[in-house]
Amino acid sequence: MTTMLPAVATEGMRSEERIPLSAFQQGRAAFLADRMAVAGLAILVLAVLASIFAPWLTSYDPNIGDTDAYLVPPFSPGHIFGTDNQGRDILARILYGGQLVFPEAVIPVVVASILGMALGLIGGFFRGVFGEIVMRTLDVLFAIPMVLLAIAIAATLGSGPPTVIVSMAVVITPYVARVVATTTAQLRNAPFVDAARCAGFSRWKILRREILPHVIPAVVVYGTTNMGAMIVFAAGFGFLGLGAQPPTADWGAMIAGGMKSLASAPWISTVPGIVIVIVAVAFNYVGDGLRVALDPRLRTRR
Amino acid sequence: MADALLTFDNVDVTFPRRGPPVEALKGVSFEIKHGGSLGIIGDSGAGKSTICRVAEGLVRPSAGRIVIDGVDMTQASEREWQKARRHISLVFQDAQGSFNPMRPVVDSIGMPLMSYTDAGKAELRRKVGEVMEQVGLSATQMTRYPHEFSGGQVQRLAIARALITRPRLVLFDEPVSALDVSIRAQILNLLTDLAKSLSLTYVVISSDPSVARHLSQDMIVLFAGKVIERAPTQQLFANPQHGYTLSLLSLRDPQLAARAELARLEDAALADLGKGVPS
Amino acid sequence: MNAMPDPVKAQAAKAPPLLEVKNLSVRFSSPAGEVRAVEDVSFNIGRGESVGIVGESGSGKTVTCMSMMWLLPSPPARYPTGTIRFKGKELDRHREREMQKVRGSGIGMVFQNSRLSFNPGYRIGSQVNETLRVHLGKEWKKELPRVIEMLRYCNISEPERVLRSYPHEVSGGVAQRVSIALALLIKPELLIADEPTTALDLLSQLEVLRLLERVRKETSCSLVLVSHDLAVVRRVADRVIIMYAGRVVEEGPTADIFADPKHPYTQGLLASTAQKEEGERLYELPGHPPDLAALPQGCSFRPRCVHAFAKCLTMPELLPAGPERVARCHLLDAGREAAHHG
Repeated sequence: MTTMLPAVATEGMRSEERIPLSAFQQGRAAFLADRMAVAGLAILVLAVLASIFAPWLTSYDPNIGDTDAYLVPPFSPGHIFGTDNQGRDILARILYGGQLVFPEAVIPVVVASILGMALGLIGGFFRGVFGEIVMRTLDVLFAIPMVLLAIAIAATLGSGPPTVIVSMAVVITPYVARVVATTTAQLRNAPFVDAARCAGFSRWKILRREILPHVIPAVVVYGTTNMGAMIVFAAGFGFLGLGAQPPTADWGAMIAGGMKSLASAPWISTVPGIVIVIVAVAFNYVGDGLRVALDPRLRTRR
Repeated sequence: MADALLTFDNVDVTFPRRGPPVEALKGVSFEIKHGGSLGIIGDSGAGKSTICRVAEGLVRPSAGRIVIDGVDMTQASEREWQKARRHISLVFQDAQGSFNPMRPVVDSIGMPLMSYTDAGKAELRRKVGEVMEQVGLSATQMTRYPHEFSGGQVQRLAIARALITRPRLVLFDEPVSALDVSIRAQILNLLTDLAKSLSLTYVVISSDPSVARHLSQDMIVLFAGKVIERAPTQQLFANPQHGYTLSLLSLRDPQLAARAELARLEDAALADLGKGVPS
Repeated sequence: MNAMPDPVKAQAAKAPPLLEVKNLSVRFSSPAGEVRAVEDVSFNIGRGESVGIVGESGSGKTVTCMSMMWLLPSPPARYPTGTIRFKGKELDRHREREMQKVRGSGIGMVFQNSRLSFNPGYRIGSQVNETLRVHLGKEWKKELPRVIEMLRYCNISEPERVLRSYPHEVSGGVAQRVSIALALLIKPELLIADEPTTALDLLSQLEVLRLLERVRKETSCSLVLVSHDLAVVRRVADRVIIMYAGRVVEEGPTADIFADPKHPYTQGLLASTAQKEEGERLYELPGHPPDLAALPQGCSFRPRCVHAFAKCLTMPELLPAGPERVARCHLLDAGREAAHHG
């Protein structure tokens, strides 16, 4: 891979010095060296593409069943994952369901990461009144159980995917903010922060230049490793009936729908369950790979 | 007073905590003239690093005066200190920790230039390269991260950052204590050479008297936040006045330690300290 | 020159040494490759003798010290070779129970940061009692008066108060002296101290040093002092072992080595720490210690050595270098050959 790098001529560079890789190149190399992370990323990309191109991949309608094919078991011709008790093809429902589940999981995490990062940086770095207000507000939010809070928000907004997105974002934000605030508070007295003060940097500049590079990887890793949990969480909304309304395909709703016939037709619940686990694990491995790729101490060796 | 670059006049520093506040410095006075060098020796917890932090404006004294180059900084605002810091550099005790592990070293060394000059990116890299060569590193190493350097090299990087703005005063806080014995001489020689070639005015803080002795013309001995002895370096080593100073000096000096009467003096000094702070 | 007595053999002839370390090698795996922390280290500790092991970080001194009592968990540590005999009896590292007995009865150990070796949740006194109970069994209560006595011996002025304190309530220096007292309580025949002064403030260093000197003079206990600090070792040790990059490079009586070092590394180390006046340049050892996962070919010190010559591309043996002295350097051989021919 190194042979493909452009030969950057640096002033006074000696021939025995290695050509310095940019941070991005180093990170990419470290990520690609992690096989599990690459495999996870490949699974996610395939899963997302499959959801987007669902109409081209399956000819079945996810919401309208075939009355002649109730409860077809998996690996049957025409229905590789089988059909449910209304004769709907489970593969089709999973593919179309992805169109809902991925945005439901990803958008709240992205929104919460940005909001939580801003709040956490302020709360962790500034000890004044403002920082106190931020931190105590977060504490109050922590006191309310996550699911209860989400349900309360969903109850006020009515059910449906937008509700899931909003309530999940609100629920996750304090967690992100706490991760960020802890990291920031640990770093605010670090010798390199003192060194930046000695070098004449203002506090905002220290926050942006010295502390933010530590916080971003923490948030990215927190987000991706929890994305799996978020999919399960979003599925939980569907399970509780607060997400998409029947008959719209939603992985969580699919599990809920299959519960009644778990003994006679276990595949109705277990197939979406397995899919959720695979996607969640893939996100975890990607998060792990990013952790290494984003930290110069882990991605380079002396 | 007029030719003093840095003056501490009866400086007290107290840190609040639960219970009685910690008195880190008590009535500390000294001055450094332009072109002079001062060694501060003392034990851990004696207040050596606090002196550095006060001189950099990172910690404010609770009483006394600090004068830098004729300007009274006792009541100065954070903004005024920010300007003053251009002229006073601090080389941190924890050199490795004073570099942001997430940024290549060029960013950390160039920081003072970014705040105090309007140097562009190319100019900044050129100056960082220059100062890195000056401390015995290669300019091509500037894009590496701190953990890719050995302990001695990181100390060189820290010295490079301190010198990049051509400060009037440099504070070296324990410049070699974290280094391997065979590396120490390299750094001490580098400091000796730089002090000569750049006519530096500097303060060396060390718990190892021989380091301060090697680098400074004048010396103060700090104990529990107080200055207990102050003398030109040669005089201090030839004829230490205070029992505590004698104990400190004897620790690594076999000739001093071997003298039989010294053992008694050591005992006396230690008994003294057991009773309380000497005044 | 050939009649030079081999120091190891000479000692063995007198009496079996208290502790015998033979061909000890310790390796670790790391992402960068195999780390050769200790390579083929052999030495003896005689009865009543005090020996200093000196080296920088990565010299293998601490790993050697820990391995003397098989204290390193294996894995990650691997021991390709090495036997350790205590009073002539081989210590089997696979028999943890037996090792515990040896460690507790015959050998006392003091570490760099004693405060950390006490459990922060219990008073120091209860941990002292626990140690006594483990070592002495039912008889331990009879020994309690000796605890106070021993703490006083170790210059602790208020032993009762210290025993009532929690570890965080005492200074590092006091904690260090308590752990030395604890080690001495079990009347060890060997006291191993790993960097006992390094983490301490100056006055506590002085106290610990003087305590070790006192132990050396007033008891028959053998002492192994591991330190990077030449001055400390010089004050306490009769004999010095200098380590570099996992190997012993020089060994001999303290006074002789400090007066006339034979190995270029020892020479450089001593020259670079010699006191110079303000403004004078010090002697400078070039370069830095090697990466233990990628040692240079031949002598590990070769890249930093001012005398290096072609022969240094092979690892030198420990060669006789004077009465009871050895050094790992081809120069000694070359010097002897020159003497023969000249």
